[in-house]
Amino acid sequence: MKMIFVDVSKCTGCRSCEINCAVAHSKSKTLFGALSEEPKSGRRLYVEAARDSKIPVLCRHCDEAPCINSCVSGCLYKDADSLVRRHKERCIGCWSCIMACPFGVISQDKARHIAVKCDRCHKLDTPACVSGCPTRALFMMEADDFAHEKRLKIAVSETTPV
Amino acid sequence: MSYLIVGGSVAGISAAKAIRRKDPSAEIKIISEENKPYCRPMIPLLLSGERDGSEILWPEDIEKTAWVQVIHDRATLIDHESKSLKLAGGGALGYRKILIATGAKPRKLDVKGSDTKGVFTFRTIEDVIKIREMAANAKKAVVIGGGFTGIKAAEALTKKGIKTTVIEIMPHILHPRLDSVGAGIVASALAAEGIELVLNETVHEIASVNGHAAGVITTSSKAFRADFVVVAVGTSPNMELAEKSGISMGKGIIVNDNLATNLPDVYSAGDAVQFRDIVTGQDSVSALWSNAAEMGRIAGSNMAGENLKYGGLLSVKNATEIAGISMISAGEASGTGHEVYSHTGPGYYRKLVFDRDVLIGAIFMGDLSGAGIYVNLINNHAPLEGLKSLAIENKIDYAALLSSHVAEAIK
Repeated sequence: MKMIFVDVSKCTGCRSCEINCAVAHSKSKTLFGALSEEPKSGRRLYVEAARDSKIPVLCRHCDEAPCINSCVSGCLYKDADSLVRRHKERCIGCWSCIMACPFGVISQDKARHIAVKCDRCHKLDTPACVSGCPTRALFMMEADDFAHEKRLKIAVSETTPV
Repeated sequence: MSYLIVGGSVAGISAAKAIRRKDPSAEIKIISEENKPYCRPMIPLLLSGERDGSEILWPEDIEKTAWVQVIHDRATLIDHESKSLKLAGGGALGYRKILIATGAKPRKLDVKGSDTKGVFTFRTIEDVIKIREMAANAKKAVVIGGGFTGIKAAEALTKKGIKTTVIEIMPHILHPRLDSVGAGIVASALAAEGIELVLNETVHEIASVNGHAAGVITTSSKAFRADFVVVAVGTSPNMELAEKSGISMGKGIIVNDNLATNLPDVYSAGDAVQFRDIVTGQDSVSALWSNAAEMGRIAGSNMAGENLKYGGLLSVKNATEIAGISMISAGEASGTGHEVYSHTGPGYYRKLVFDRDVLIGAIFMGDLSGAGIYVNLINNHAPLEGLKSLAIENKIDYAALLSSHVAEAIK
Protein backbone atom coordinates (compact mmCIF):
# COMPACT_ATOMS: atom_id res chain seq x y z
CA MET A 1 0.00 0.00 0.00
CA LYS A 2 1.15 3.52 -0.81
CA MET A 3 2.47 5.80 1.91
CA ILE A 4 3.14 9.52 2.09
CA PHE A 5 6.84 10.32 1.89
CA VAL A 6 8.56 13.64 2.54
CA ASP A 7 11.54 14.86 0.55
CA VAL A 8 12.79 17.47 3.01
CA SER A 9 15.20 18.97 0.47
CA LYS A 10 12.22 20.05 -1.67
CA CYS A 11 10.10 21.64 1.07
CA THR A 12 10.06 25.43 0.83
CA GLY A 13 7.83 25.85 3.89
CA CYS A 14 4.98 27.36 1.83
CA ARG A 15 2.34 25.54 3.91
CA SER A 16 0.15 24.82 0.89
CA CYS A 17 -0.24 21.29 2.29
CA GLU A 18 -1.67 22.69 5.52
CA ILE A 19 -4.18 24.86 3.67
CA ASN A 20 -5.22 22.03 1.36
CA CYS A 21 -5.60 19.75 4.37
CA ALA A 22 -7.85 22.18 6.22
CA VAL A 23 -9.94 22.78 3.11
CA ALA A 24 -10.29 19.05 2.43
CA HIS A 25 -11.60 18.57 5.98
CA SER A 26 -14.01 21.50 5.82
CA LYS A 27 -17.72 21.16 5.08
CA SER A 28 -17.66 23.09 1.80
CA LYS A 29 -14.32 21.68 0.51
CA THR A 30 -13.51 25.06 -0.99
CA LEU A 31 -11.04 27.63 0.32
CA PHE A 32 -13.52 30.52 0.49
CA GLY A 33 -16.22 28.30 1.94
CA ALA A 34 -13.82 26.97 4.58
CA LEU A 35 -12.81 30.48 5.62
CA SER A 36 -16.39 31.43 6.45
CA GLU A 37 -17.29 28.23 8.30
CA GLU A 38 -17.76 28.16 12.06
CA PRO A 39 -16.25 26.27 13.74
CA LYS A 40 -13.29 26.47 11.39
CA SER A 41 -11.70 23.39 9.92
CA GLY A 42 -8.13 22.76 11.11
CA ARG A 43 -5.06 21.32 9.46
CA ARG A 44 -3.92 17.84 10.40
CA LEU A 45 -0.27 18.13 9.39
CA TYR A 46 2.25 20.70 10.46
CA VAL A 47 5.13 22.28 8.59
CA GLU A 48 7.78 22.80 11.20
CA ALA A 49 11.02 24.68 10.90
CA ALA A 50 14.19 23.01 12.10
CA ARG A 51 17.57 24.61 11.60
CA ASP A 52 17.90 25.06 7.84
CA SER A 53 15.08 22.70 6.91
CA LYS A 54 11.32 22.91 6.77
CA ILE A 55 9.73 19.59 7.60
CA PRO A 56 6.08 18.69 7.07
CA VAL A 57 5.25 16.42 10.03
CA LEU A 58 2.31 14.10 9.61
CA CYS A 59 0.68 11.04 11.13
CA ARG A 60 2.65 7.83 10.51
CA HIS A 61 -0.38 5.59 11.01
CA CYS A 62 1.89 3.49 13.25
CA ASP A 63 1.60 -0.29 13.39
CA GLU A 64 1.50 -0.42 17.20
CA ALA A 65 -0.06 3.01 17.39
CA PRO A 66 0.44 4.57 20.85
CA CYS A 67 -2.64 6.74 20.31
CA ILE A 68 -4.89 3.70 19.85
CA ASN A 69 -3.29 1.99 22.85
CA SER A 70 -4.02 4.95 25.07
CA CYS A 71 -7.51 5.78 23.78
CA VAL A 72 -9.87 5.26 26.70
CA SER A 73 -13.15 5.51 24.82
CA GLY A 74 -12.66 3.12 21.91
CA CYS A 75 -12.66 6.01 19.45
CA LEU A 76 -9.38 5.32 17.62
CA TYR A 77 -8.99 2.18 15.52
CA LYS A 78 -7.08 0.69 12.59
CA ASP A 79 -9.19 0.47 9.47
CA ALA A 80 -8.92 -2.24 6.82
CA ASP A 81 -6.24 -0.22 5.01
CA SER A 82 -4.15 0.05 8.19
CA LEU A 83 -4.98 3.73 8.65
CA VAL A 84 -5.46 5.04 12.18
CA ARG A 85 -8.98 6.47 12.11
CA ARG A 86 -11.60 7.79 14.53
CA HIS A 87 -15.11 6.71 15.35
CA LYS A 88 -15.76 10.43 15.79
CA GLU A 89 -18.92 10.04 17.85
CA ARG A 90 -17.02 8.02 20.47
CA CYS A 91 -14.43 10.72 21.20
CA ILE A 92 -14.95 12.24 24.64
CA GLY A 93 -12.16 14.84 24.44
CA CYS A 94 -9.98 13.22 27.10
CA TRP A 95 -6.85 14.03 25.06
CA SER A 96 -5.06 10.77 25.92
CA CYS A 97 -4.08 10.35 22.26
CA ILE A 98 -2.40 13.77 22.27
CA MET A 99 -0.44 12.67 25.33
CA ALA A 100 0.62 9.43 23.62
CA CYS A 101 1.62 10.66 20.17
CA PRO A 102 5.41 11.05 19.95
CA PHE A 103 5.10 13.07 16.74
CA GLY A 104 2.71 15.67 18.13
CA VAL A 105 0.33 15.38 15.19
CA ILE A 106 -3.00 15.02 17.03
CA SER A 107 -4.68 18.23 18.09
CA GLN A 108 -7.73 19.53 19.89
CA ASP A 109 -10.81 20.75 18.06
CA LYS A 110 -11.92 22.85 21.00
CA ALA A 111 -15.19 23.91 19.39
CA ARG A 112 -16.35 20.35 18.79
CA HIS A 113 -14.50 19.04 21.84
CA ILE A 114 -12.90 16.16 19.96
CA ALA A 115 -9.39 15.17 18.91
CA VAL A 116 -8.49 15.59 15.24
CA LYS A 117 -5.87 13.75 13.25
CA CYS A 118 -4.87 12.80 9.72
CA ASP A 119 -7.19 10.29 8.06
CA ARG A 120 -4.94 10.23 4.99
CA CYS A 121 -7.96 11.53 3.04
CA HIS A 122 -9.24 7.98 2.79
CA LYS A 123 -12.07 9.07 0.50
CA LEU A 124 -9.71 10.68 -2.04
CA ASP A 125 -7.35 9.01 -4.51
CA THR A 126 -4.54 11.34 -3.50
CA PRO A 127 -4.38 12.97 -0.04
CA ALA A 128 -5.02 16.72 -0.10
CA CYS A 129 -1.57 17.57 1.31
CA VAL A 130 0.14 15.62 -1.45
CA SER A 131 -1.95 17.05 -4.26
CA GLY A 132 -1.47 20.55 -2.85
CA CYS A 133 2.31 20.38 -2.66
CA PRO A 134 3.76 22.54 -5.48
CA THR A 135 7.30 21.15 -5.22
CA ARG A 136 6.47 17.45 -4.78
CA ALA A 137 8.15 17.47 -1.38
CA LEU A 138 5.19 15.33 -0.35
CA PHE A 139 4.54 12.31 -2.53
CA MET A 140 2.80 8.95 -2.45
CA MET A 141 4.74 5.79 -3.13
CA GLU A 142 4.90 2.11 -2.26
CA ALA A 143 7.41 1.65 0.57
CA ASP A 144 9.24 -1.01 -1.45
CA ASP A 145 9.55 1.29 -4.46
CA PHE A 146 10.91 4.05 -2.25
CA ALA A 147 13.59 1.71 -0.90
CA HIS A 148 14.39 0.61 -4.45
CA GLU A 149 14.85 4.20 -5.65
CA LYS A 150 17.03 5.01 -2.70
CA ARG A 151 19.27 1.99 -3.38
CA LEU A 152 19.52 3.02 -7.01
CA LYS A 153 20.54 6.58 -6.09
CA ILE A 154 23.24 5.35 -3.76
CA ALA A 155 24.49 2.86 -6.32
CA VAL A 156 24.70 5.55 -8.98
CA SER A 157 26.44 8.05 -6.72
CA GLU A 158 28.97 5.48 -5.56
CA THR A 159 29.82 4.25 -9.04
CA THR A 160 30.04 7.69 -10.66
CA PRO A 161 33.68 8.79 -10.95
CA VAL A 162 34.29 12.12 -9.24
CA MET B 1 -4.38 -26.24 25.50
CA SER B 2 -5.64 -22.71 25.72
CA TYR B 3 -4.33 -19.34 26.71
CA LEU B 4 -6.26 -18.16 29.75
CA ILE B 5 -6.67 -14.53 30.73
CA VAL B 6 -8.14 -13.68 34.10
CA GLY B 7 -9.74 -10.25 33.87
CA GLY B 8 -11.68 -8.70 31.01
CA SER B 9 -10.65 -5.07 31.01
CA VAL B 10 -8.01 -3.27 28.98
CA ALA B 11 -4.93 -5.29 30.03
CA GLY B 12 -6.72 -8.60 29.43
CA ILE B 13 -8.21 -7.58 26.11
CA SER B 14 -4.94 -6.04 24.86
CA ALA B 15 -3.19 -9.30 25.75
CA ALA B 16 -5.84 -11.40 23.99
CA LYS B 17 -5.47 -9.32 20.85
CA ALA B 18 -1.67 -9.57 20.98
CA ILE B 19 -1.86 -13.35 21.32
CA ARG B 20 -4.31 -13.53 18.43
CA ARG B 21 -2.01 -11.51 16.16
CA LYS B 22 0.87 -13.87 16.86
CA ASP B 23 -1.05 -17.13 16.96
CA PRO B 24 -4.08 -17.22 14.63
CA SER B 25 -5.25 -20.68 15.68
CA ALA B 26 -4.79 -20.50 19.45
CA GLU B 27 -7.69 -21.04 21.80
CA ILE B 28 -8.01 -17.93 23.99
CA LYS B 29 -10.36 -17.67 26.95
CA ILE B 30 -11.02 -14.62 29.12
CA ILE B 31 -12.46 -15.24 32.56
CA SER B 32 -14.30 -12.13 33.69
CA GLU B 33 -16.57 -11.28 36.59
CA GLU B 34 -18.00 -8.24 34.86
CA ASN B 35 -20.80 -8.55 32.37
CA LYS B 36 -19.42 -7.05 29.17
CA PRO B 37 -16.10 -5.29 28.68
CA TYR B 38 -16.40 -1.51 28.77
CA CYS B 39 -14.29 1.63 28.81
CA ARG B 40 -13.90 2.28 32.52
CA PRO B 41 -12.62 5.86 32.23
CA MET B 42 -15.99 6.73 30.69
CA ILE B 43 -18.07 5.98 33.77
CA PRO B 44 -18.22 9.66 34.86
CA LEU B 45 -20.10 10.29 31.59
CA LEU B 46 -22.45 7.44 32.41
CA LEU B 47 -23.13 9.01 35.80
CA SER B 48 -23.76 12.47 34.36
CA GLY B 49 -25.94 11.00 31.65
CA GLU B 50 -23.80 12.33 28.79
CA ARG B 51 -23.32 8.77 27.53
CA ASP B 52 -25.59 5.77 27.96
CA GLY B 53 -24.71 2.20 28.89
CA SER B 54 -24.33 0.99 25.32
CA GLU B 55 -22.06 3.89 24.40
CA ILE B 56 -19.40 3.02 26.93
CA LEU B 57 -19.15 -0.65 25.99
CA TRP B 58 -15.88 -1.85 24.45
CA PRO B 59 -16.05 -0.72 20.81
CA GLU B 60 -15.62 -4.17 19.30
CA ASP B 61 -17.06 -7.56 20.11
CA ILE B 62 -13.81 -9.36 20.91
CA GLU B 63 -15.57 -12.72 20.79
CA LYS B 64 -16.00 -12.08 17.07
CA THR B 65 -13.05 -9.85 16.15
CA ALA B 66 -10.37 -11.76 18.06
CA TRP B 67 -12.18 -15.10 18.43
CA VAL B 68 -11.88 -14.96 22.17
CA GLN B 69 -14.22 -16.93 24.38
CA VAL B 70 -15.44 -14.96 27.39
CA ILE B 71 -16.37 -16.99 30.46
CA HIS B 72 -18.34 -15.23 33.19
CA ASP B 73 -16.93 -16.63 36.38
CA ARG B 74 -14.47 -15.89 39.14
CA ALA B 75 -11.05 -17.53 39.12
CA THR B 76 -10.10 -18.83 42.55
CA LEU B 77 -6.78 -20.69 42.23
CA ILE B 78 -3.98 -21.32 39.76
CA ASP B 79 -2.45 -24.78 40.21
CA HIS B 80 0.80 -24.40 38.30
CA GLU B 81 1.75 -28.05 38.72
CA SER B 82 -1.33 -29.43 36.99
CA LYS B 83 -1.52 -26.21 34.90
CA SER B 84 -5.14 -25.61 35.68
CA LEU B 85 -7.28 -22.73 36.87
CA LYS B 86 -10.06 -23.39 39.39
CA LEU B 87 -13.30 -21.45 39.00
CA ALA B 88 -15.78 -20.35 41.66
CA GLY B 89 -18.62 -21.80 39.61
CA GLY B 90 -17.01 -25.25 39.93
CA GLY B 91 -14.73 -27.01 37.51
CA ALA B 92 -11.31 -26.08 36.25
CA LEU B 93 -9.70 -25.00 33.00
CA GLY B 94 -6.36 -26.28 31.74
CA TYR B 95 -3.91 -23.78 30.29
CA ARG B 96 -0.77 -23.46 28.24
CA LYS B 97 -0.05 -19.92 29.47
CA ILE B 98 -2.11 -17.80 31.82
CA LEU B 99 -2.31 -14.06 32.43
CA ILE B 100 -3.45 -12.46 35.66
CA ALA B 101 -5.06 -9.15 34.73
CA THR B 102 -7.32 -8.82 37.73
CA GLY B 103 -6.99 -5.05 37.97
CA ALA B 104 -7.62 -3.00 41.03
CA LYS B 105 -10.46 -2.25 43.39
CA PRO B 106 -11.39 0.95 45.19
CA ARG B 107 -9.46 1.37 48.39
CA LYS B 108 -11.60 1.25 51.49
CA LEU B 109 -11.76 4.16 53.85
CA ASP B 110 -10.94 2.89 57.30
CA VAL B 111 -13.26 5.06 59.34
CA LYS B 112 -16.41 4.56 61.36
CA GLY B 113 -19.48 4.37 59.15
CA SER B 114 -17.70 3.48 55.91
CA ASP B 115 -19.95 0.43 55.46
CA THR B 116 -23.17 2.36 56.01
CA LYS B 117 -25.94 2.33 53.42
CA GLY B 118 -25.59 5.32 51.15
CA VAL B 119 -21.78 5.11 50.93
CA PHE B 120 -20.59 4.29 47.45
CA THR B 121 -17.41 3.64 45.53
CA PHE B 122 -17.03 4.89 41.95
CA ARG B 123 -15.31 2.40 39.70
CA THR B 124 -17.75 0.08 37.94
CA ILE B 125 -20.99 0.32 35.98
CA GLU B 126 -22.70 -1.27 38.99
CA ASP B 127 -21.42 1.57 41.18
CA VAL B 128 -22.87 4.11 38.75
CA ILE B 129 -26.26 2.38 38.68
CA LYS B 130 -26.41 2.47 42.48
CA ILE B 131 -25.33 6.11 42.70
CA ARG B 132 -27.82 7.13 40.01
CA GLU B 133 -30.67 5.45 41.88
CA MET B 134 -29.63 7.27 45.03
CA ALA B 135 -29.07 10.58 43.26
CA ALA B 136 -32.56 10.61 41.77
CA ASN B 137 -34.00 11.71 45.12
CA ALA B 138 -31.01 13.46 46.63
CA LYS B 139 -29.97 17.09 46.89
CA LYS B 140 -26.55 17.01 48.48
CA ALA B 141 -23.52 14.74 48.26
CA VAL B 142 -20.06 14.54 49.75
CA VAL B 143 -17.19 13.06 47.75
CA ILE B 144 -14.24 11.92 49.83
CA GLY B 145 -11.01 12.26 47.85
CA GLY B 146 -9.95 15.01 45.46
CA GLY B 147 -8.12 12.87 42.91
CA PHE B 148 -9.29 12.52 39.33
CA THR B 149 -11.94 9.94 40.28
CA GLY B 150 -13.38 12.06 43.05
CA ILE B 151 -13.35 15.28 41.03
CA LYS B 152 -14.93 13.54 38.03
CA ALA B 153 -17.62 12.12 40.31
CA ALA B 154 -18.26 15.58 41.77
CA GLU B 155 -18.55 17.14 38.32
CA ALA B 156 -20.97 14.45 37.15
CA LEU B 157 -23.13 14.82 40.26
CA THR B 158 -23.15 18.60 39.86
CA LYS B 159 -24.37 18.18 36.28
CA LYS B 160 -27.24 16.15 37.73
CA GLY B 161 -28.15 19.08 39.95
CA ILE B 162 -26.69 17.75 43.18
CA LYS B 163 -24.83 20.16 45.42
CA THR B 164 -21.48 18.45 45.94
CA THR B 165 -18.66 18.93 48.41
CA VAL B 166 -15.25 17.33 47.90
CA ILE B 167 -13.11 16.63 50.96
CA GLU B 168 -9.39 16.30 50.28
CA ILE B 169 -6.71 15.37 52.78
CA MET B 170 -3.88 17.19 50.95
CA PRO B 171 -3.33 20.97 50.67
CA HIS B 172 -4.49 20.83 47.03
CA ILE B 173 -6.60 18.60 44.81
CA LEU B 174 -5.25 16.23 42.13
CA HIS B 175 -2.02 15.55 43.96
CA PRO B 176 0.42 14.26 42.59
CA ARG B 177 -0.96 14.64 39.09
CA LEU B 178 -0.85 18.43 39.31
CA ASP B 179 1.11 20.84 41.47
CA SER B 180 -0.46 23.54 43.64
CA VAL B 181 -0.50 26.09 40.79
CA GLY B 182 -2.23 23.78 38.31
CA ALA B 183 -4.60 22.48 40.97
CA GLY B 184 -5.42 26.07 41.92
CA ILE B 185 -6.51 26.85 38.35
CA VAL B 186 -8.74 23.76 38.33
CA ALA B 187 -10.10 24.54 41.79
CA SER B 188 -11.27 28.02 40.74
CA ALA B 189 -13.01 26.57 37.69
CA LEU B 190 -14.70 23.91 39.84
CA ALA B 191 -15.81 26.53 42.34
CA ALA B 192 -17.35 28.48 39.46
CA GLU B 193 -19.34 25.33 38.61
CA GLY B 194 -20.66 25.32 42.16
CA ILE B 195 -18.51 22.54 43.61
CA GLU B 196 -17.31 23.11 47.14
CA LEU B 197 -13.71 22.01 47.78
CA VAL B 198 -12.55 21.39 51.33
CA LEU B 199 -8.77 20.96 51.61
CA ASN B 200 -6.46 19.80 54.38
CA GLU B 201 -9.24 17.85 56.06
CA THR B 202 -9.12 14.22 57.16
CA VAL B 203 -12.36 12.30 57.42
CA HIS B 204 -13.01 11.06 60.92
CA GLU B 205 -16.40 9.47 60.50
CA ILE B 206 -19.26 8.98 58.10
CA ALA B 207 -22.28 9.87 60.20
CA SER B 208 -25.57 8.12 59.72
CA VAL B 209 -29.23 8.61 60.57
CA ASN B 210 -31.46 5.54 60.75
CA GLY B 211 -28.72 3.39 59.28
CA HIS B 212 -28.22 5.62 56.24
CA ALA B 213 -25.29 7.94 55.57
CA ALA B 214 -26.18 11.50 56.47
CA GLY B 215 -22.90 13.34 56.36
CA VAL B 216 -19.18 13.40 56.99
CA ILE B 217 -17.32 14.59 60.06
CA THR B 218 -13.64 15.51 59.82
CA THR B 219 -10.94 15.13 62.47
CA SER B 220 -11.12 18.90 63.03
CA SER B 221 -14.81 18.38 63.93
CA LYS B 222 -16.21 20.02 60.82
CA ALA B 223 -19.46 18.44 59.68
CA PHE B 224 -20.78 18.23 56.12
CA ARG B 225 -24.35 17.13 55.62
CA ALA B 226 -25.05 14.80 52.69
CA ASP B 227 -27.79 12.56 51.36
CA PHE B 228 -25.09 10.15 50.24
CA VAL B 229 -21.30 9.81 50.18
CA VAL B 230 -18.92 8.75 47.41
CA VAL B 231 -15.54 7.41 48.52
CA ALA B 232 -12.75 7.90 45.97
CA VAL B 233 -9.49 7.48 47.87
CA GLY B 234 -7.50 5.51 45.32
CA THR B 235 -7.30 1.87 44.38
CA SER B 236 -5.45 -1.21 45.48
CA PRO B 237 -4.49 -4.20 43.31
CA ASN B 238 -6.70 -7.28 43.25
CA MET B 239 -4.18 -9.83 44.48
CA GLU B 240 -6.30 -12.59 46.06
CA LEU B 241 -5.91 -15.02 43.16
CA ALA B 242 -2.15 -14.46 42.91
CA GLU B 243 -1.70 -14.63 46.67
CA LYS B 244 -3.52 -17.95 47.03
CA SER B 245 -1.66 -19.38 44.06
CA GLY B 246 1.78 -18.72 45.53
CA ILE B 247 2.86 -15.80 43.40
CA SER B 248 5.42 -13.34 44.77
CA MET B 249 3.94 -10.03 45.77
CA GLY B 250 4.84 -6.63 47.07
CA LYS B 251 2.57 -3.64 46.60
CA GLY B 252 1.27 -5.55 43.61
CA ILE B 253 2.10 -8.72 41.72
CA ILE B 254 5.85 -8.95 41.09
CA VAL B 255 6.91 -9.64 37.50
CA ASN B 256 10.14 -9.60 35.53
CA ASP B 257 10.77 -7.41 32.49
CA ASN B 258 8.90 -9.92 30.31
CA LEU B 259 5.94 -9.48 32.69
CA ALA B 260 6.24 -13.12 33.82
CA THR B 261 5.63 -13.96 37.49
CA ASN B 262 7.73 -16.32 39.60
CA LEU B 263 5.52 -19.27 38.57
CA PRO B 264 6.20 -20.92 35.21
CA ASP B 265 3.89 -19.81 32.36
CA VAL B 266 2.04 -17.37 34.61
CA TYR B 267 2.14 -13.72 33.49
CA SER B 268 0.58 -10.59 34.87
CA ALA B 269 -0.34 -7.17 33.46
CA GLY B 270 -2.31 -4.06 34.32
CA ASP B 271 -3.38 -2.44 37.57
CA ALA B 272 -2.57 -5.54 39.63
CA VAL B 273 1.13 -5.36 38.77
CA GLN B 274 3.89 -3.47 40.50
CA PHE B 275 6.65 -2.26 38.24
CA ARG B 276 9.52 0.19 38.08
CA ASP B 277 8.55 3.82 37.55
CA ILE B 278 10.79 5.19 34.80
CA VAL B 279 11.30 8.51 36.54
CA THR B 280 11.55 7.59 40.22
CA GLY B 281 13.12 4.17 39.74
CA GLN B 282 10.81 2.92 42.52
CA ASP B 283 8.39 0.02 42.18
CA SER B 284 4.90 1.34 41.79
CA VAL B 285 1.33 0.30 41.02
CA SER B 286 -0.23 2.77 38.65
CA ALA B 287 -3.89 2.00 37.89
CA LEU B 288 -3.64 3.91 34.61
CA TRP B 289 -5.36 2.80 31.42
CA SER B 290 -2.42 3.50 29.09
CA ASN B 291 0.05 1.60 31.28
CA ALA B 292 -2.36 -1.34 31.47
CA ALA B 293 -2.90 -1.40 27.70
CA GLU B 294 0.85 -1.40 27.08
CA MET B 295 1.54 -4.10 29.66
CA GLY B 296 -1.27 -6.26 28.26
CA ARG B 297 0.13 -6.03 24.75
CA ILE B 298 3.63 -6.96 25.91
CA ALA B 299 2.53 -9.81 28.19
CA GLY B 300 0.26 -11.23 25.49
CA SER B 301 3.01 -11.10 22.86
CA ASN B 302 5.41 -12.84 25.24
CA MET B 303 2.87 -15.53 26.11
CA ALA B 304 2.65 -16.24 22.39
CA GLY B 305 6.42 -16.63 22.10
CA GLU B 306 7.88 -13.15 21.68
CA ASN B 307 10.57 -11.73 23.93
CA LEU B 308 9.44 -8.16 24.52
CA LYS B 309 10.61 -6.19 27.52
CA TYR B 310 8.50 -3.67 29.37
CA GLY B 311 10.54 -0.52 29.88
CA GLY B 312 8.67 0.71 32.91
CA LEU B 313 5.64 2.76 33.76
CA LEU B 314 4.95 6.35 34.63
CA SER B 315 2.90 6.55 37.83
CA VAL B 316 1.72 9.96 36.67
CA LYS B 317 0.68 10.04 33.01
CA ASN B 318 -2.71 11.63 32.76
CA ALA B 319 -4.75 13.41 30.17
CA THR B 320 -8.20 14.73 30.86
CA GLU B 321 -10.46 17.72 30.93
CA ILE B 322 -11.97 19.13 34.10
CA ALA B 323 -14.30 22.12 34.26
CA GLY B 324 -13.46 22.98 30.67
CA ILE B 325 -9.71 22.96 31.26
CA SER B 326 -7.81 20.41 29.21
CA MET B 327 -4.69 19.05 30.82
CA ILE B 328 -1.85 16.56 30.41
CA SER B 329 0.67 15.77 33.10
CA ALA B 330 3.42 13.20 33.42
CA GLY B 331 6.28 12.15 35.66
CA GLU B 332 7.26 14.40 38.55
CA ALA B 333 4.48 16.81 37.69
CA SER B 334 4.17 18.13 41.23
CA GLY B 335 7.94 18.11 41.55
CA THR B 336 9.84 20.69 43.50
CA GLY B 337 13.49 20.54 44.49
CA HIS B 338 14.46 20.12 40.86
CA GLU B 339 15.05 22.59 38.07
CA VAL B 340 11.58 23.89 37.24
CA TYR B 341 10.47 26.14 34.36
CA SER B 342 6.90 27.35 34.21
CA HIS B 343 4.69 29.78 32.32
CA THR B 344 1.21 30.90 33.22
CA GLY B 345 -1.35 32.90 31.32
CA PRO B 346 -5.13 33.18 31.28
CA GLY B 347 -6.39 29.58 31.30
CA TYR B 348 -2.88 28.44 30.47
CA TYR B 349 -0.17 26.75 32.48
CA ARG B 350 2.90 24.94 31.35
CA LYS B 351 5.65 23.48 33.49
CA LEU B 352 8.74 21.41 32.83
CA VAL B 353 10.80 19.69 35.52
CA PHE B 354 14.40 18.71 34.85
CA ASP B 355 16.94 16.60 36.66
CA ARG B 356 20.12 18.04 35.11
CA ASP B 357 19.35 17.68 31.39
CA VAL B 358 16.83 14.84 31.72
CA LEU B 359 13.19 15.89 31.48
CA ILE B 360 11.43 14.18 34.40
CA GLY B 361 8.08 15.92 34.64
CA ALA B 362 5.66 18.13 32.75
CA ILE B 363 2.28 19.80 33.05
CA PHE B 364 0.32 21.23 30.14
CA MET B 365 -2.96 23.01 30.78
CA GLY B 366 -5.13 24.92 28.36
CA ASP B 367 -2.87 24.34 25.38
CA LEU B 368 -1.85 20.76 24.71
CA SER B 369 -0.08 21.18 21.41
CA GLY B 370 3.02 19.03 21.22
CA ALA B 371 2.49 17.66 24.74
CA GLY B 372 2.95 14.09 23.50
CA ILE B 373 6.50 14.87 22.37
CA TYR B 374 7.41 16.02 25.88
CA VAL B 375 5.69 13.05 27.54
CA ASN B 376 7.65 10.73 25.28
CA LEU B 377 10.87 12.53 26.23
CA ILE B 378 10.01 11.85 29.89
CA ASN B 379 9.29 8.25 28.98
CA ASN B 380 12.68 7.93 27.23
CA HIS B 381 14.45 9.32 30.31
CA ALA B 382 17.46 10.30 28.19
CA PRO B 383 19.66 13.39 28.44
CA LEU B 384 18.33 16.15 26.17
CA GLU B 385 21.67 17.88 25.71
CA GLY B 386 21.18 20.72 23.21
CA LEU B 387 17.43 20.19 23.12
CA LYS B 388 17.02 21.31 26.71
CA SER B 389 17.14 25.01 25.87
CA LEU B 390 14.62 24.46 23.06
CA ALA B 391 12.35 22.62 25.51
CA ILE B 392 12.49 25.48 27.98
CA GLU B 393 11.52 27.92 25.22
CA ASN B 394 8.63 25.59 24.23
CA LYS B 395 10.22 25.10 20.83
CA ILE B 396 10.53 21.34 20.67
CA ASP B 397 8.53 19.82 17.87
CA TYR B 398 9.15 16.63 15.98
CA ALA B 399 11.18 18.44 13.36
CA ALA B 400 13.54 19.67 16.08
CA LEU B 401 14.06 16.12 17.33
CA LEU B 402 14.57 14.88 13.82
CA SER B 403 17.07 17.56 12.91
CA SER B 404 19.03 17.10 16.13
CA HIS B 405 19.51 13.41 15.41
CA VAL B 406 19.71 13.18 11.66
CA ALA B 407 20.81 16.65 10.59
CA GLU B 408 23.85 15.08 9.04
CA ALA B 409 21.93 12.36 7.25
CA ILE B 410 19.65 14.87 5.54
CA LYS B 411 22.58 16.79 4.07
